[in-house]
Amino acid sequence: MKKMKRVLLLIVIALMASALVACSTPATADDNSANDEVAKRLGDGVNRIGFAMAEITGQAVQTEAQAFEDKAKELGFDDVIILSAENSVETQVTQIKDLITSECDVICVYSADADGVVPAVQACNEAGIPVIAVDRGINGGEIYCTIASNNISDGRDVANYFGLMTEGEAEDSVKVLHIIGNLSSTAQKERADGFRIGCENWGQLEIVDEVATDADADRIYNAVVDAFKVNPDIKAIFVPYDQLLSPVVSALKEIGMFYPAGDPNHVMLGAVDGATEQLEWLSEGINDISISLDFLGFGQTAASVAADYVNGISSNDVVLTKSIVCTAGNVEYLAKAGMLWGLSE
Amino acid sequence: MKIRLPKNAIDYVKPGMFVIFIVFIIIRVPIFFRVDNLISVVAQGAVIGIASIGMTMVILAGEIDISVGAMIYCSGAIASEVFLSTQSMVLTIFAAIVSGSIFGLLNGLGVAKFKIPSIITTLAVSNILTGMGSLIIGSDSTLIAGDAYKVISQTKILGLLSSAWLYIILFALFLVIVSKTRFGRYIYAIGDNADALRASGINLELMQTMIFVLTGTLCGIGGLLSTSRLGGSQFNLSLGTEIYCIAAVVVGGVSMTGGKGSLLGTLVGVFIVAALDNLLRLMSVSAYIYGVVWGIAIFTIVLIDILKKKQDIRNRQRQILDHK
Repeated sequence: MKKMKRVLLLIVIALMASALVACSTPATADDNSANDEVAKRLGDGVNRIGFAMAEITGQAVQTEAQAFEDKAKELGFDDVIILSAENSVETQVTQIKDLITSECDVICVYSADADGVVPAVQACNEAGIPVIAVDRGINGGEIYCTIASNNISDGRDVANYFGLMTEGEAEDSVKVLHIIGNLSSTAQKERADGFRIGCENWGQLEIVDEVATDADADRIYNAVVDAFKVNPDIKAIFVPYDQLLSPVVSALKEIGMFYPAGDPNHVMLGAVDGATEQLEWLSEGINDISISLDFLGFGQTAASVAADYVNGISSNDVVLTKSIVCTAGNVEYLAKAGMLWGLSE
Repeated sequence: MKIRLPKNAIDYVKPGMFVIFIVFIIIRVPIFFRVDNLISVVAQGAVIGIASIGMTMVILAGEIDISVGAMIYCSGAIASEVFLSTQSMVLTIFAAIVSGSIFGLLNGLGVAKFKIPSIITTLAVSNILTGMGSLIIGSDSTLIAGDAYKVISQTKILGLLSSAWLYIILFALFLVIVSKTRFGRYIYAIGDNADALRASGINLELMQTMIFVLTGTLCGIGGLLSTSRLGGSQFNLSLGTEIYCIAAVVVGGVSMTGGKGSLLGTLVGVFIVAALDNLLRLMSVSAYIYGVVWGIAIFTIVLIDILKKKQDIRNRQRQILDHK
């Protein structure tokens, strides 16, 4: 019996050892073949770059996509492929795999979901294709470079503005409505976190309601109307990006709570992005603050980092783009200085 | 000791839950019963309500339409653009209704003429219209300056907003059409036994197409109202509305396999869906559990209905056996 057990043990050890060898040997072969593939791709005479975007509706992301395409072509990429996943992470994973099949030298990803897109990033890693995360971070796989703004800081800046404008008011006396956009968007989640952190620093600011809206205009409109029934003295509203301000303004008008900036009854409105319409609104006193992100910079930097990689020049792991705080007081100057992607003189 | 529930216990679950629910609202969210809130619930539910009339007809006929949200989105975008270019209210209303009808016709032809399953046809149309809507809106979110466009949905008549009145009128009209006319009886018959209807010489394809066209027309009106309420079209506005419509129809007791149910049931369903949405917001339910609460509430209501229907069937079988 003991002999039998010993034999069985030996067989198991032998099997485990052969499994280990089997696992390691092809991996080396794969590594070699992946390196060969990379060398072949880079040396095939065609520089091809792919940009998998979560979505391409909206002025901001269209600006980003256009800037990326223009810069990539300027830097010598022969083939620039831009794909939109309509905010579906499944579609984006498939699209990234298609970009691998298309033999892209570099793949840039504006992720639909920071976690959901990881398997596709790992597939890129296996194929030896560097991944550049643009606009939003990615929570896994090997990322060659992340180009993004500091979303937490962007949200916090809006809270700080609300705080500054109401400095000296009594504790918890300035009621704030926080509209939550798309819960699957890392950028929007970070902006929301930043906004909460910012509000905590100002004793007078109290977030009285946080409403989930899926970034749907109808739901935002209803959320504002209903929030004022419970808290008629709301003094400030934060939305995660500029385009969501339109239904907020419409709802305020419906319930008779819309007063332009300067009026004592004015409800302060703040958002992030720096879209044209909302920057123009600043001068009209409709909204109060918009954080202008560098969408041109996102696209151009992504293309530059990719070109550097192809040319054998390394890059930083993280490149943070600048955000600009825009208010009625400085928007005209910033536009004249050509510092805003959404507005120029 | 084993507790035995009465045979018809399920009959008391829904009214019991309703009473508990009302008591809970009175204590926790008294603001819900304020007249201005109830009026705004009706206004908030108007677009879903109008689209749900069409969805009820489609489901009664044994089909499904998942392009409802996209039809509202695209026809709303068209209406906004027409208003921006012409400033003509008549042309705007006409554009919304006609575009909605054409979208409905696409669905109808796909299902009735080309025999493509409705879920596939409407999914395809939904994708086309979502893209079209975004193309029409362009890179900006078009917000129409001035309040002229808002007149369609925001005018107050006898304390109610015009959007709510429009819903009431359309509901009354379609209640008559569905319950009192031959066309209405055909809708039920298609869902119940389409083959028998075809055998009796009725043009089934025409009936099916008409159902989808009417649904499209209603969505066109819905698109007009939703954009008018917001003062213009927005990216992705109303996309996904079909989920609320299907919930309202199912909560209202319409059978998903077709042939059974009523528009009155859907009316109750629309009110429950709109009221639940409003309640969750008034209660400041956390953004992260909002969907969970909403989903559980709808699931529970539908489950009770299904259990009650099963019990009714069992009782009927028992009565037949007793009679024998």
